Amino acid sequence: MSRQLATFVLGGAHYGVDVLLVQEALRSQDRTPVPLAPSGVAGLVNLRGEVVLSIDLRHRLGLAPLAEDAEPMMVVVQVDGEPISLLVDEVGDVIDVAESQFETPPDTLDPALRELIVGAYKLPTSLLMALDVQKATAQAA
Amino acid sequence: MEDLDEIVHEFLVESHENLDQLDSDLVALESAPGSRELLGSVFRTIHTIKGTSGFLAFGKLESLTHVGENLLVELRDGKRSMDQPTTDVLLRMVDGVRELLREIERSGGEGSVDVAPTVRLLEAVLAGEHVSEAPTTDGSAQPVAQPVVEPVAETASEAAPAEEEQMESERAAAPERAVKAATKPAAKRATKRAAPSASAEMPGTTVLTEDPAPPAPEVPHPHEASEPITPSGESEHAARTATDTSIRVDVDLLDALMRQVSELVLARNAIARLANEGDIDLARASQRLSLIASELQEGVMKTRMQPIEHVWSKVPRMVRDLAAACHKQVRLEMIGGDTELDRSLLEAIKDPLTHLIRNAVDHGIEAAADRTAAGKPAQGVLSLRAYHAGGQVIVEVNDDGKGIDPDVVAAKAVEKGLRTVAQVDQMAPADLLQLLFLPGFSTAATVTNVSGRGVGMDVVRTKIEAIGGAVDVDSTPGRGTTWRLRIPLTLAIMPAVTVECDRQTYAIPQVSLLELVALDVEAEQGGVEYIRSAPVYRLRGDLLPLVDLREVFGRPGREGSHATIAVLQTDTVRFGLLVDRVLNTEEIVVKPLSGRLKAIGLYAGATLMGDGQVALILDIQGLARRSLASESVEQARRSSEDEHAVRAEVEQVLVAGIGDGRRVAIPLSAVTRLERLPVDVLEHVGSREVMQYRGSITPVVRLDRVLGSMSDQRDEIVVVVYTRGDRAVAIVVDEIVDIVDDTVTQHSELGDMGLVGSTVLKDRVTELLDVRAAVAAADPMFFDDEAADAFALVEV
Repeated sequence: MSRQLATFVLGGAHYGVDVLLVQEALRSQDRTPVPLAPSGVAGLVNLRGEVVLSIDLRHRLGLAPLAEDAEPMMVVVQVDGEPISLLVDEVGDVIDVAESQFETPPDTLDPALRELIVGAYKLPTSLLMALDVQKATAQAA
Repeated sequence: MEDLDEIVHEFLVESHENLDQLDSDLVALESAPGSRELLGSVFRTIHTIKGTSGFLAFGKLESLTHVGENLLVELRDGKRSMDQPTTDVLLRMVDGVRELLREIERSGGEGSVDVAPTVRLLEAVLAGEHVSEAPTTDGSAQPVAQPVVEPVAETASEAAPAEEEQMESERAAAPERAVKAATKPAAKRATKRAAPSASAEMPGTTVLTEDPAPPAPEVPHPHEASEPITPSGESEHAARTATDTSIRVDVDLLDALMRQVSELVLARNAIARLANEGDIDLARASQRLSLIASELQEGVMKTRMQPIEHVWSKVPRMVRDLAAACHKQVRLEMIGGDTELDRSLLEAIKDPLTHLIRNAVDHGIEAAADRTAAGKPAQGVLSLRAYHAGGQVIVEVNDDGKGIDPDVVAAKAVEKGLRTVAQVDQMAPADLLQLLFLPGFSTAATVTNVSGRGVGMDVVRTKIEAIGGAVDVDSTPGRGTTWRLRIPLTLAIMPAVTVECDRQTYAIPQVSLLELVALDVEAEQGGVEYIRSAPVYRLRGDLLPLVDLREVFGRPGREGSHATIAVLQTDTVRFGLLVDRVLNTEEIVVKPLSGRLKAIGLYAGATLMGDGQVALILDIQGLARRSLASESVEQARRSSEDEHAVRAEVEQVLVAGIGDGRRVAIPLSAVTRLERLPVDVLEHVGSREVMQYRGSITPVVRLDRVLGSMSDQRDEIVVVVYTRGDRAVAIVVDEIVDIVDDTVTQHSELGDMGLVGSTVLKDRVTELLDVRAAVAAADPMFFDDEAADAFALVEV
């Protein structure tokens, strides 16, 4: 059983989500902040006339915010029929992975992150962490 | 008569559609004679037309379809097979039906169309091959009539004479009463089926008519319906048939159109913005575009409009049943049923309206005996009114019942712990009625099976607010109650004011906006005053509570007093929202907000501005609830504390800055006045600083010096005046920070000279001033008389 993951980079590490969930990847746009929104909500963007919620994945994964001048990319995924934009550092390739490469995360991983990272695919050069999009975009803590 | 025309119109629309289907079905049937499905479909179509035509007293049409139906019955029952002559004659029948329908549409009656030859042909086909079994149509009518005749046997005999006269001479004598009895229920069903299918109740479609007129709200009584339709001269659109002027459109398609028009409106806004700066030709073109876009928008919006009658159509039955259940006599009046609303809104007001009507019948209108005793007619009147007003649709539910007694409401609110006695005492009767909308409020003394289970008006309010509407109530005890729903015309596009706060744009729905007030730049703090810590503004003499949007959003306060107050009205409160500035009024397109943001409760949606930026639409009700309810709750808490005299625990203190970032808390009970004065009011008596205050020489103590901190020299000083009897001391501080509640139990002993300890207020360590020491530093004699009193006590 092989599947395809759309990959992206966050803080130097590679992450992937099921390619079927991904609607598109594009350059980041101006975001409208939402006061009093749960932290992790990066704001709202106008995606061709549709108002789309943006989630800062760095925040969700407990990474330091991106440098001020760095331009994040947006990966738009479909969650419960609603498009949601994930802010990532860089967008990578779509990669074929096999189940045999998969391993669940180690017990030493922060429980909060275990929710989000379902496991890792052992690629020849690096580890590709599989992200649970549903959980990653759920009501940010 | 109008209703009847409407029924005829719908009948025509539906029949035309059915006939087209019939044509292709019959032809298909010829090549697949055995298809029961096709036969069933053909049979149903003809049966429906027959039934409805009988009901509408189109005798010729009825007789024609009747014979055709007989033929189809035999085909369906397998007594004959489809062959070419049969198909021919059936197609002829269809043509005949078409001709009749055209005539009905043109003149309102059947005119001189002669159906006799076709009937004879049909009968010939029927008789020709089945002489032995069905010599006349009489016999074959039985199987059709049989299944439906039973349940309505009694109505048949009663209704038959009325119809008898209208039966025309050429009508074949064969189909007798049994048939008429059969047509009756069939017609009823047919019309009932026809009406909803064209209305909102069929979920997938909406009907577009050239003259959007209400379809029949209810099936009229058979007797009325049986009246002959008098030809109403030339119909206005004789040239076009019903099918030409009205089509069925998928609601999804309309929604898509609506979305695109919304986009167009946005693009128009963007161009209009550009054109304002550009050349004259662009401005002209933009203006035209603007005009067309507006018209297009209006047109598309109209396609989604449906008369409120769709919702009302069920009311008569409901009121009748309710009245019977409650043993009351109620007459129902409905005015303005043709008022149109967006169909999604129509759907949304159904439940609230039902709730209000149930309430009115169950609790509003009294029992007949009570009414008579009160000098009112035994029969109560419940009236529904719908009308347009101020860009909204108003729907009123009015009863002439016992009304709502504000005192009962007040008592109930106190009993349920929703308000305190002190609070309700201060409320005007109209405000008391608003308490009905509080969650957990139900005044019904007894729970009936109709209403009064505690899920009350708050649900109505929530639902109406959810669609951007509002609900209020008027009531005169003994005279009746009026509930008024204000509903926006449409959900998708709404007029709004865009405002700026902390560099972000927000939209405020125009519905909630009363006026805009620019803060007075000349006045101190822009004319904003404070009652304790609550900012207020004097608006034409009335105090308007203010909510600063920056504060709500937890943003840093704005510099200077450049701000605008948007005076907003929710159904319960009026308040002023402080925003940085007002940008524009424009039509905004409401975009749904991600469910993940709904929990915040401050945003009603989002919209796209002309430049493509997303702007949030403020939910004024939510904002008021969040900012004002919490305040009133706090006030309630405070006042209840006052009542219970638990002041020992919590004391209000004035927090003042004294330089070096130090803060000092002064018990508010010690403070009589706060003054901001120019520094040159300070004079000297010997080495002491004094000032003239209210005609006497008042000693001055500089708190920073007493407590050993350094503050900057200023032109203005802030003075806290402390009075005791006729003596006063002026305490000079750097700035007044706030007035907060100080919980005594949290005090720390940690102090210093001139302090009695310290505590944490507003996340800052604050020193607790030893007022006696500070005052004594300025006026050693200040407490002397007290000491004298004490001595006096000792001596006695």
